[in-house]
Amino acid sequence: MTSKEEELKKFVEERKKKMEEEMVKDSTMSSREVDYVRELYRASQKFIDIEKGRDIYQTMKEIWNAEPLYEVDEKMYHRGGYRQSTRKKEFVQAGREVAQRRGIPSYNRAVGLPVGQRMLEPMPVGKWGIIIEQDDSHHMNNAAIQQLNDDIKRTVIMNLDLAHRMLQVRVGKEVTPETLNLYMETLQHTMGAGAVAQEHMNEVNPYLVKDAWAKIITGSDEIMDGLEPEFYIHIDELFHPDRAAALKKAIGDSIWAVLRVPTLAVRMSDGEEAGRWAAMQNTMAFISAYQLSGEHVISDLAYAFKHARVIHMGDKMWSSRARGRNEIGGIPDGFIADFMQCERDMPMIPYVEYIQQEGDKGARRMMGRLAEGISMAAILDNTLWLGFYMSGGIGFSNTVATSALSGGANEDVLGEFSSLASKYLRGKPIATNWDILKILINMIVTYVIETYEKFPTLAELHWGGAHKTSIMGTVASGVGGMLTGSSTMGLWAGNYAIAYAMKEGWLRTGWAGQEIQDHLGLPYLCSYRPEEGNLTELHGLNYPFHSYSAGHGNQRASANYGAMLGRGSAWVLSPVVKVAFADPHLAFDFRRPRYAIGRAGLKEFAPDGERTAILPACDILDRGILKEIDKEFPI
Amino acid sequence: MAEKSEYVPNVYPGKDEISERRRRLWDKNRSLLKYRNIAEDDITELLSHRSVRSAYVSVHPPLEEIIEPYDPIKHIVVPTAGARAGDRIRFIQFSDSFHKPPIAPFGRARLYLARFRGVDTVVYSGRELLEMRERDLEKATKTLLETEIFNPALDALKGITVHGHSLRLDEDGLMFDARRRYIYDRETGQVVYIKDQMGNVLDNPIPLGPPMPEDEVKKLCITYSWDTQPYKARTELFEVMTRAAKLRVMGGFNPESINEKM
Repeated sequence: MTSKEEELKKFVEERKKKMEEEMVKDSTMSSREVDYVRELYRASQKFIDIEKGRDIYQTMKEIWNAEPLYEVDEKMYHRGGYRQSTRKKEFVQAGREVAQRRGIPSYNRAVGLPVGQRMLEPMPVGKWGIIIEQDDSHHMNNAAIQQLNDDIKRTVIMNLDLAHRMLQVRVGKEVTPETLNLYMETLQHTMGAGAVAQEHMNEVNPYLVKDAWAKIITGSDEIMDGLEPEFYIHIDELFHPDRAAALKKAIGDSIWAVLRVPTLAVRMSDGEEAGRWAAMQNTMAFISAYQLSGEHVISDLAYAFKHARVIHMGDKMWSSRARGRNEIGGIPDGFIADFMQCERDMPMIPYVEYIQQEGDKGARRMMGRLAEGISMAAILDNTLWLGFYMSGGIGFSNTVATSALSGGANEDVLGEFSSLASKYLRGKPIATNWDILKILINMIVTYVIETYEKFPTLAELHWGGAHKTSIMGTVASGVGGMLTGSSTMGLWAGNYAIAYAMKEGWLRTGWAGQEIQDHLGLPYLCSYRPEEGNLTELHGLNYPFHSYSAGHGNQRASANYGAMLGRGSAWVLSPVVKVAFADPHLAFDFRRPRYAIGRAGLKEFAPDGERTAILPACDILDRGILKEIDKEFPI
Repeated sequence: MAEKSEYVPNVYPGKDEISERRRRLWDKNRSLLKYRNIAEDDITELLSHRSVRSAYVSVHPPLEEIIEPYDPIKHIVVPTAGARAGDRIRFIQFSDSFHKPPIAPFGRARLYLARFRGVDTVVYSGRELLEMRERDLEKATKTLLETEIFNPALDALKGITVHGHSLRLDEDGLMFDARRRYIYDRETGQVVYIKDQMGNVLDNPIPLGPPMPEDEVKKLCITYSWDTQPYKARTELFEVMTRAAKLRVMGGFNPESINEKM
């Protein structure tokens, strides 16, 4: 046969095969569709008992003190208004006292709409057994959320290799363990604004800056051995041995200093201040420890610490959002996933292999870490960036973030999925192919959708479309990332879940076309031209077509963090940032963010940056309110 | 020359009842079932934009009286009655329950854009804003309140203070309303509006009919639901959606890369 005949025969065979496939596809589709066009209401009742066995059933029962599957709230409008909430009653009392003392009205429930016509439900935080009120998770009421913001903003990481080389080559100084220890001791003093180079300087009360310190990050055991133990972050002790080894290998012999600027400083100014404070104080520590002088070296040192060898947690933003560096809007998504420390003690094995080894329980444990971690991203994106920085502090975005904190929806759905995955995947990762992944994503998304339909109490807890969008995107992108190890596939799954699956199922998404960034996100996913797209880990709120609406930050973090767990890596974007936030001296608990936030709701969290040392010992109401005695003094 | 075939819009994919209902609502050539009659004066009261039978306020003279520069588009587009008269742009806002609603926000948007002219609409998660010239709006409102897409228990006029679509229903099976604009009259079995859409108390309550019975609710529900029309079984719809997602990723910036095999 000639090659032309062969080609023709091949072509005819392919056509035939394709037609057969199409016919099978068509008939399968029709039979399936017809099969389900029936009244299923009665059949569905048979599955009620199974629903009652789910974790979410118990959680909803505890929250609402009512049957979670029941669609009617008989006590609606009859719950006593704001008086059903202890916190609101306290607010009313406090508002009254403030008004009387200052002579200007304050918080007053007599104005506006009566709150509490529906149930003001309590809020269980994660799986920590902590129950707080919704108001307690408002960023202004929650010291842990404030500290989360502060601890990120006040962190600056500087590489010391260039500085050390400069000292050795240009100034002829030796850098030894002794000099490094002296430098670090000096740095702890200068970070708290202690003077070293001049003898007549204003200094800061150490009580105010007790949260200012610096630590070395290095992958070299030899360098760590030469340092005093308080001067470096102990990677081996803080991470699972496999993770520690991977991180140390990645960091290598480089020496990095992570500098914590006092909380009070970034509260007084902004994140941009952190870079300046850290660079200035680090340079002063070098000057003092190495007895330096002369423009040629000091200006180069300052340049290295301010620009050349410095990692800021966030980039600058464009003018309409105008913030300096180290503010939330500029943090790359990959860094947010590196701030999360929830997986620190877990072995560094790809998710599907891990669940093959550990089974159902292991699968749920790993998914639990994902749910814990992304709650922090929800707070950063919804509560702080959109709710506070961008909107001005209203409470709505907070409630969206709390959907990631509370209710156990993430855990329940991800847990169920983990059980299935451990049973059926058999340790084989899913190919990074949409045609394969879409089947699993459709399965998980419809499962989430049905969970809301089955549990009207959950739909009431997550009462806005933004809340449900948030959960939908988080679950889909987390699962997509964990199964494939690819953050791009994870985000694809998340964008698809909201822009298509949720939208067409319910004909609604979130607040005001909230799926817009999911529609745009899809083409942007695989485009690497900077104005069109980028590596998923380099996306962020400071990125074209992001930051429109609440509920997407945790989705992106879920894709990145999930992909890291999926491929069995020790970090997402930067091993240095990952290690920097393992620092046990930080007040916020980056390993258990929901625990810290829950404890703050109970007023059990002690933040940094308090001004008690310089305040008068007086009644809380006297502070900041103009008193009669002040008015009488002539100017 | 080949004969041109007439374009038939493929309104929505799928062979199930929900898909069919969506196709029907969004196809302007198919009529909506009428369920009730509401007087025009009552509609004016509910909207609360003008007093009953008062003249329409205009923001510009009638189009016939305005001498405008030539614009070819104005010759193509026939102005609506409200635009011709120079009416103000006014709004109506509906909220649709999460629990088996006869229509939901994106359903409204697609219906508004298919069936009405001169509209501006915004989709939220629980509500839908519709803005039109005043007299056009009143006419559209009649359609929106009298037909199958309005269940007095699960859809509500909420011009302000809209939240509550996702809450459980109250003891009478009504969607939550923080302003209590409507109540269930147990004597007449009707849902009665005691306030207009902005929450101002009405002089005379306006009944909008009884809540639809459960069978009807399930039949008219536009969203998929696990116990009636499960979403996960919608093969064709999922085929369309997953393909659309893929085409957007692969061809969003490179439309030329799309081919039949994708």
